[in-house]
Amino acid sequence: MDALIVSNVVLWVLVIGLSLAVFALTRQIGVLHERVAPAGALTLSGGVKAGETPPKLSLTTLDGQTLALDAYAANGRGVLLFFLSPTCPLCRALLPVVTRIAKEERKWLDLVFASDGGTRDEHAAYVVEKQLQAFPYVISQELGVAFRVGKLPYAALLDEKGALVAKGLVNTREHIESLFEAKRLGVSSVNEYMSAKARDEEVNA
Amino acid sequence: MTIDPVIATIVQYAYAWLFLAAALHKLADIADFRSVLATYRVLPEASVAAAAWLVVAVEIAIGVGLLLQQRAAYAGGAAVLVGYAAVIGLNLVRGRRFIDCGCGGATQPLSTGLVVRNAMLALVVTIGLVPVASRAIGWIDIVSIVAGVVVAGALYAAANQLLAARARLEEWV
Repeated sequence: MDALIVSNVVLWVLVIGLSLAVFALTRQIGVLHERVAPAGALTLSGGVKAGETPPKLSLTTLDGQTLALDAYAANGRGVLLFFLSPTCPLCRALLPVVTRIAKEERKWLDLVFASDGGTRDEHAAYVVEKQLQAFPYVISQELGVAFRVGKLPYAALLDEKGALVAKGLVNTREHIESLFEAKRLGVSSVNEYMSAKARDEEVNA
Repeated sequence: MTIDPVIATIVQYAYAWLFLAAALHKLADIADFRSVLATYRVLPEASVAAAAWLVVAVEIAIGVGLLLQQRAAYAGGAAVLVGYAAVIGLNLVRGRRFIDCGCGGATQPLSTGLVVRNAMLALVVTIGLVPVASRAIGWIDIVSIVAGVVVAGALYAAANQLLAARARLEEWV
C-alpha cells in the first residue's frame, strides 16, 4: 500500500510538471507566431508605391468634415493612415499602440483612421467605445483601393511632403514601428526592412 | 450511480476557478467585453450594456454557487457553457468568423474548436449533478484534489493557446 501511495504522489508531481511544461510550450508557440509574423505577405503589390504621392481623393470624416491628404503635406505634416474594422480583433489590440505612437510623434505626424464597409452607426459606436474622437475617421472604399488594403490591420505612412514612405499589413507593434524605421533608414517596405534586419543579424552573428 | 468524492471535488473547484476567472477577466475591461458581446450580434444593441453586466453577474453567481456546492450552479454552469457554444456556432454559420471570441487570453477568432471546447466543458461539469459517494478522505485524496485542479487549469490554458495559435496560422495562408 505504501508503495502505491508513494508512486501516486510522485506521479502527481510529474504530471503537474509536465502540464506546466506543455503550458509553457504553447505560450512560446504563441510568442513565436508574433515574432516571425506573416513574413512575405506584408506589402501587397499594387497601389501607391513608396515615394509616390497618393491620388487626390475627396474624403469625408465620420463627423462630416472634408479631409484631403495633401492638406497635411501643405502644412508640412506627415500622416499615419491606419486601416481598421470594428470587427477585427487584431485592429482592436493595436489601437493603443497607434494612438501612443501618434502621441509620441505629434510634432510632425497626424493619425487618420480609415475603414470601408459597415454601417456609419457601427463605426460611430466604435469611435465612442475606443475613445478615438480626437482623430479623423474616414470611411472610404476608394482610399482602401488606392493603398491596396487587402488585409487588416493595415497601415500607411506619408512623410511631410505627402509621399508614401511605407505601407503594409501590420500585425504587431514591431510592424508599425518598422514603418517609422523605414522612414529613418530610407527603405521602402516592411519586407525590405525585415530582410535587411535579418541580413544585419546574420552579419553580426 | 455515484461518483467518487475526489473527482467531484476536482470538478467543483476547477469550474469555480473557471467561472470566477472568466468573470474577473470581463470585469477588468467591461467596455471591451461590451464591444465583444455587441459583435456577436445576438442581442438588440440597446440591451448589450445591461447584458454584459448580467453575464458577469451570472458567472460570479455560478462560481460562488460551485464553491458552496449548490446543485443549481452545476446545471447553470452547463447551460451557460452550452449557450456560449451555441452563439459561437451561430456566428460561424453566419460566416462571421473574424470577430473576437472574447474567450480570455489572446484575442482569437471563432472556430469549431471553440464550440467543441465549450461542449466538452459543459459535458464534464454535469459530473457534479451525480450523487457523491461517501468515504473517508485521507491526505492522499487532498493531494489528488489539489494536483488535479492545478493540472486541469494548466491544460485548459494550454488548449486555449493552441486554439489561438492554430487560428493565427490559418489566417496567414
